[in-house]
Amino acid sequence: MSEVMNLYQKRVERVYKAINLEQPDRVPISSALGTWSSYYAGYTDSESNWDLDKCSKSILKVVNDIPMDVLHMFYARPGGMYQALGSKSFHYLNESNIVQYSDENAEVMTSEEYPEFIKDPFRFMVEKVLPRKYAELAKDTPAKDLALAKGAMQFGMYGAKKGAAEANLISQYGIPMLFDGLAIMPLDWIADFFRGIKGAFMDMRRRPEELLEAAQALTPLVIRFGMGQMFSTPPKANPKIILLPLHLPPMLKTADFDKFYWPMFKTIVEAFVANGVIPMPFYEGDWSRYYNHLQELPVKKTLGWFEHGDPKELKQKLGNTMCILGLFPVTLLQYGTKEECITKAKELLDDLAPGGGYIFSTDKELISAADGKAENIIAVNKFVMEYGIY
Amino acid sequence: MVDLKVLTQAMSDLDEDVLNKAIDEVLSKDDNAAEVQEIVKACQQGMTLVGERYDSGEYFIGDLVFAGEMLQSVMDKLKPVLSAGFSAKGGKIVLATVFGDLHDIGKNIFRSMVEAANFEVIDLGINVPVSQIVDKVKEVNPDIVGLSGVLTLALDSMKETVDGLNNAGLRNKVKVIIGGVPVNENVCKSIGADAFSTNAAEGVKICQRWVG
Repeated sequence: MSEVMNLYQKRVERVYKAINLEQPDRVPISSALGTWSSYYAGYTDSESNWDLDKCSKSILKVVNDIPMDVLHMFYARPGGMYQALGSKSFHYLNESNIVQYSDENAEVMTSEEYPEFIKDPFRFMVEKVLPRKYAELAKDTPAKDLALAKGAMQFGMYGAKKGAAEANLISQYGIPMLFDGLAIMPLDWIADFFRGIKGAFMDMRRRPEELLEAAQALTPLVIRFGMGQMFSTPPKANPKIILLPLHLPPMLKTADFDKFYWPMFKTIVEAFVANGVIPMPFYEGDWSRYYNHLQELPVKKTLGWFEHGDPKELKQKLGNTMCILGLFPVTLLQYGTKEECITKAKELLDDLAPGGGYIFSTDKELISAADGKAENIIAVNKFVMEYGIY
Repeated sequence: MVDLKVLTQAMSDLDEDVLNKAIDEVLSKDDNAAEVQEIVKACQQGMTLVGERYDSGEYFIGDLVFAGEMLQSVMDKLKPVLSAGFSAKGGKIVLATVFGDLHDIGKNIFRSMVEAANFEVIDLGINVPVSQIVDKVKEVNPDIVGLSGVLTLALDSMKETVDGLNNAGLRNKVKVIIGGVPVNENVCKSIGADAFSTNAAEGVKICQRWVG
């Protein structure tokens, strides 16, 4: 086996041992460098979305310069696809900014439309939501069919670039990518894409039963869309990993979480696990109220990426249930000194590494040019590689 | 006369039906101007209780957003009756989501809570350039500038805004508070703000201390 392939095998083994709550040779490092990679390589996020080769180059540059075991993902949003469909949802405020989504534009469904949505969410999305979000899809045949074909072609090109980038990462640097797809939970989907977050909070008080039924109706579709991504990527020796970013739970009262979020979330996680896929929820915000809930998730079958929390408490409450990642503050990489960064990394390792089941990672994805000084990131990762030996 | 305690309680409990019924009753009467002013005060007190219930961990952000909407719709209903005699006396705040960021849920929660605490708020909206904030501060001479943002890139914009106030010679005339997911003590110091908060109710208290 070549030296690079040997490195690749070792890194994969390190990561999957941690997922299995075992102790690898040392603490693995997962890098969530996202759109920060573009700026680091001398591009903007927008340039990388329009020219996917620039995204691929950026990814290769960060793994060349920054020590790590696994890179999160291929981060580009294919600009060509959004253009072909006439997207109205994503914005660049200016050339150097990142792509953003505004709550105002998210509200494309009225609260009176819930009954129709609940009856057949897929049909509702295709016939009502998509034309409202994508100008080209609101046109008559054949214009809309042509737009759809163009969009599909762009998406195919995106997939090819993504696959090639991943293959290059492995063959040139021996670095795997962590996840193979992404799924949005029903309530977050409704809030982020159909009703707006504010709209969803209003519905929770004014139309609670309809909102609940809508979230239930979406659940099988979330599983289907997630599994579709798992089937459309090349097979792997180890289980594939799906990222589940979770938005609303820390903003909800526990009683609302129990009603509108948790049952659907648990069903979806269990469905992915039953299909041999490892869910990796990103527990955005403060989840400490919900640690008891999380203890009910399938043991050794999920990765928990945490933004917030007391590392000791996390390890004690969830260390036997799931592999833990996160907590290292991106703002410290941005504003802290090298010494402060290393002190923090040491604290986290002391609390989270013992016994295994831990992957070092930042508390969130790095997105903008100033998110983290490269010298801090490199110093921290080097430190973890030395200090994190079991 | 409508029972003001019931109104305060309904606002605090986020009970929209009770609140609306009571208000509609008052609005259907003649010569209700004085009573309407009392209603506004009762709702503001209810909003303070909402803030306390948030502080104690009973309410969360979703509840605050809903409370803000409730208060807004009450004010919209009462506006035609409210005479010019009713004015905010707490102090003046220029508020903005800084440039580069479109997220305004946190900013809007803070706005409704600080308005309920009797501050006059000049809300400049989202993605607000430094020059616009500086010009507004010159124009209205506020006590406080509130800068909000969710993305980490907002931190740089906050810093540039504080620098902008500095360069315009305005920095020592106003207090600056920053709010949003990525702010913390370290960030506050680097940006040169006077205070930070990730909790709207706490942010209101800081502002009250400044003008008190």
